Amino acid sequence: MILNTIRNEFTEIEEGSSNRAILNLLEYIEKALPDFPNSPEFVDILEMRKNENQHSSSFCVYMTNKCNSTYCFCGQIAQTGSFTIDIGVYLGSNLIFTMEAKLLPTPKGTKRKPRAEHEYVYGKGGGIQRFRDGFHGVDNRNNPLSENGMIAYIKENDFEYWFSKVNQWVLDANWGKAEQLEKIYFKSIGKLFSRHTHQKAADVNLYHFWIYVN
Amino acid sequence: MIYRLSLLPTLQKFISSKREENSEWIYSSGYKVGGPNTKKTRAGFIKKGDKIEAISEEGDYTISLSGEENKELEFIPDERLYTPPFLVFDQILGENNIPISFVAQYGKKELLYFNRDFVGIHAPQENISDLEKIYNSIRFQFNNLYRFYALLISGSCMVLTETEINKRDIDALPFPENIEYLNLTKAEKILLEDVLEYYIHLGKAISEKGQGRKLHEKVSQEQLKKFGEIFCEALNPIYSKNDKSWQCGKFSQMQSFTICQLGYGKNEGLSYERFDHEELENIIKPLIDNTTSNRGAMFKRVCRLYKHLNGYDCVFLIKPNAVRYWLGSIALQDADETFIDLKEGGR
Repeated sequence: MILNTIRNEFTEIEEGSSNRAILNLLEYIEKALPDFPNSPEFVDILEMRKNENQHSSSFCVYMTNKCNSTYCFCGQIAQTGSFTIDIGVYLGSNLIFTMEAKLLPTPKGTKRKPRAEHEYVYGKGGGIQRFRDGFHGVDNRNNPLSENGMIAYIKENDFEYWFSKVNQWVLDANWGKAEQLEKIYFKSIGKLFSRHTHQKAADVNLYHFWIYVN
Repeated sequence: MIYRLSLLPTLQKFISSKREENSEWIYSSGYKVGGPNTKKTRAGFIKKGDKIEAISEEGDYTISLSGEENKELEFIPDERLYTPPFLVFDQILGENNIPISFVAQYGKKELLYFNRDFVGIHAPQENISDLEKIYNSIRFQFNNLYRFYALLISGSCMVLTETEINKRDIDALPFPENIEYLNLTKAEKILLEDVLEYYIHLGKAISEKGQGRKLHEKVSQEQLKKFGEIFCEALNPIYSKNDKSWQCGKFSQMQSFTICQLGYGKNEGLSYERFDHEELENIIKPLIDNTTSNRGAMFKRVCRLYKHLNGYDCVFLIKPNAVRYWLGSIALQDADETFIDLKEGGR
């Protein structure tokens, strides 16, 4: 009933205005991310080990500190079923944005648990695939979030190299050209965008942030 | 906020890094007398010094006239802990800070010792400026932040007693190299103020004469206005656009509940004033009595009702009169919930 009143009666707040919270967040990520590899958070936390989780921990600490908790970046956030996502961003008590993190190139894994090089896109632990399948990208009331993100910590090769690789993997997954990544810019960080069909809800938009970490 | 602060390097980490550079840094609780059946050691330091028995919030310490009467103790820290320069903390939360004293020198005797009610940090003479830095942070610069943090993370404070903290709570105080990380945003300051002014009293039963009664007093017009402003400031970074914004509207206080209107529309079009009788009858009463759109609301203590009124998209908050429903931290929570309603409503 509450929602009907808002839908039917409210005329001053334009449709989709709440998305500004996401735009403000994306602006913040773009502004803060270039300084991340030189931050004390990055250096201190990654002094000992440099796996995906450590990178994401230091990213969460850095991003939360840098905005003095305007947003709270938290690690390993519960998603659909038993799935957890690497990074969840809270505005107040609301989970407004989720991000999956990947190292590029994908670490080889162990003999028992080998990891595929195309893990950024599809396969076991597939970054984009989990959003497509609806396992990732839900808020804390389990509603699908239409805007989500990926962060790539790039250890070897340049943005252009990974741009072509990732887009080839999208085709290898048989998702079609429409789901390939679009380059927005490659500067000190890379920003890209992709839109994917979602198994159970409306399309999911992914903002990709790439950063060199070596 | 606690999560963010918990991610920062701690005071203990700072001292450990100093100790790696110079092992003369010592950080420990004071001596422990122990029970009748515990193993004890003769304490030679007692005759070489005076005993601190209290520390004031102003940074002064009081000497015990009798000194420590037990000559054998269960735990004796490194004697250098009691040699100036050192800092000594009392393990309670004061009204303004965690009581801390900076003992740069002590002329009367060789040592100034204290028992396990206190925690001390001794540094080599050449690192005295680091002790000053810790002292100034805890006593002046971030006194309220540290009280707030210790209060919320402590396992004893508000549980065993209202103000008792322990060494682990002092260990965990955030102490980053870059002190900008201890500067708080407006929303963080609101949370801190509410905790130290109001929620701190929830550690014991609230009586008529106790300080905690302020949580149950009737909210004042001033407090209500502040509530509305915080609510609007939380939502305006998202919705303010084209000369339109969230604003405080009218309010009314009945015998047992308060109604507060917050509206989105043309800037400066709403004003903070009382609803007149006619408006209450024609607008508010039908809103509350509307059992179709507001099913179950009569049984709730807190209601959030939406209505477009006179060119403004409005949310009416209806809650009991008690201050605790109208605190700044609650305004942030109401703004969060309103954001979700608006988002789910397609706005």
